[in-house]
Amino acid sequence: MSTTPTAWAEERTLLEAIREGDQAAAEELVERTYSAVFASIYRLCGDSDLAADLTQETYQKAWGALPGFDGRSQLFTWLYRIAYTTFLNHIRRPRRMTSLDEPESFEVKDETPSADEVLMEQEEAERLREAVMKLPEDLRFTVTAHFWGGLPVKEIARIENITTVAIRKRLHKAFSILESSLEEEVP
Amino acid sequence: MNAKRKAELQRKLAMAPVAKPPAGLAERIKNDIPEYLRADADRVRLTRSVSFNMRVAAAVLVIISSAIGAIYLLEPQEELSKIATSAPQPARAATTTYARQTDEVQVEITQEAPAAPVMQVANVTTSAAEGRRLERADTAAVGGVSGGYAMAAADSIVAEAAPPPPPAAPPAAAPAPEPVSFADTTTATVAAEAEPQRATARLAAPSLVREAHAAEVKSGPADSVFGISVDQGVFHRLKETLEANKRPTASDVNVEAIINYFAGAPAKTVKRGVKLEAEGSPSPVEKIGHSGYLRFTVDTASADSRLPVAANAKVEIDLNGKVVEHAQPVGNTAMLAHEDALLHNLSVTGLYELTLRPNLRASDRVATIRLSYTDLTDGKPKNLEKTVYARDFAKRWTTATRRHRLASLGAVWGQSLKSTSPAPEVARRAEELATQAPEDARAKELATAATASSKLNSGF
Repeated sequence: MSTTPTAWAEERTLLEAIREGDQAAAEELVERTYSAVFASIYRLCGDSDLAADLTQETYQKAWGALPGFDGRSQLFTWLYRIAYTTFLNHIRRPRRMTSLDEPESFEVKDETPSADEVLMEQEEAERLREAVMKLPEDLRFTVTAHFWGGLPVKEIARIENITTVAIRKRLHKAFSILESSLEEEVP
Repeated sequence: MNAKRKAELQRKLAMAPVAKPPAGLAERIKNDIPEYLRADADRVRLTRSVSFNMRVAAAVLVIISSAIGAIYLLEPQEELSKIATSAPQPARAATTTYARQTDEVQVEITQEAPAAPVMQVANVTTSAAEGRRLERADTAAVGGVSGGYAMAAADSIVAEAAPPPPPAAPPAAAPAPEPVSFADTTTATVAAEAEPQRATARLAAPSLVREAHAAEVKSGPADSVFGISVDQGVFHRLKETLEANKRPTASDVNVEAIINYFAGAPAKTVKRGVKLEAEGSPSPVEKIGHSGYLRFTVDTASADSRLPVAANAKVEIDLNGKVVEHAQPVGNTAMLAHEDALLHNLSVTGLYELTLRPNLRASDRVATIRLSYTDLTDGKPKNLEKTVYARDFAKRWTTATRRHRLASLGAVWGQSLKSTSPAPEVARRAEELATQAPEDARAKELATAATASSKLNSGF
């Protein structure tokens, strides 16, 4: 997501139009952001259908919460927060189970490498996803928001109400945990 | 951790695979954009301003009442004794003596006069009757499927305007004449019979709760809700018959129950109250003309308790005659019944097969589904409303929610089973659904059952 001043100003104009009840502006917002929201959720859950459903749910919540959005963070940061919470709520639901232990395989469509290579990459990516999901909540949010949501450290610090230094410390700590858990799993 | 390992880990994290959003996702999201974004913002502002004003008003009232109390206490005892002596005197005499006493006498007169509440109840009853007449006229004008009456306007008038009447209050004034042009007399009777119960409920929420609980105790687990069969055993019996390589008889095939089996529970647990879903889609199998399925689903909060969560519930399907050429309830849901009590952990789905007129605009309203009920947590009437537009029927069926896809596919399968016509497309669609979500046992069950029945029908 762009962070240039022009983009920021455009975002504010778009928000004002939505708050004035402009449906076209709301659709414009969806067009601009839904791919990124979908990608973030997909990286969290690894299931295309589920990611689509959760993306839809994210926007449903966002429309309801829009009057309360104070504009202190970027719009995408705010959306990402909702998407992340929606995902967490989903995995905590008792009825529909998305087991972190038995996830579906990623849909990687790359015809160049051999089938074995693709399989290995998929497995590796899946192990990494599992390890990320097992991180403590604050570290998990920081890692996924930064690497999978594409949020800058400054933005994460803003919505978490902590300093950028603290965010970097979280990332460092998360890397250490990830490294040890990935090493443990290697046969 | 050394820098190389860290960089490697960062690279792996950043390179996590990404899939493209499925086609139609943007449309699905856009369809959910509320029509009144601005109204929402205004409502929040209004709520905040009202709550602030209420706080100010409450503070002012407290100050004034404290001041009056203080003045009263500090008044000379002599004047108080005069007031005490003059109180039993007739009102007319009192008015000539002290202005203060006049106030007190007026209060007494008001309290003793029984006429005012009776008048109010009579007026309100008339309003309710008018509301019913208006609503019936609307429903009749639609010319489609009618399952109840939206009494929202009249209900709110009663709740706000009518004070609790004395227990021995006389019955309300003579009811207004019934409209002669109303098409659905059976449902009208249901609503009319339910009306006195609702009036009682509005005036005494605790008794409503008791009545609703009693209804639940009497009924036990429901096989039908709103007159729609939700019997979970139907599909299992069909499955056994098919597994025995036998063809089920038409009377065994309860399409409503099949729809409800496959619509199942909501994807997201309902935490409290009642939830209404409405969705439209084209048919899962190819059909002639612009046909599609309209679904409504009512879910109640998930809880260990089987006690009711709502009472006096009714659903109304308001079809837009300018857009809908023909509407047919799938199964036997010709008319939707009123429900005295909705239990916890309940899900009921109704499906209508619609034929739409050609040359529609995406924003044309196809149908509005209204659910009204009394919330047993606060005894207040609630109204939920969902609208489905022509654009929902223009999308691909595969972009509909999983619940809708399973329900509509179950409906097509049930209908094909009843008419003993093969439906290989159903089996293929169900297989697709099952492959997309292997953890969803019902999609797999539908795929297996559809394949088995298809073989029977085609003579294999």
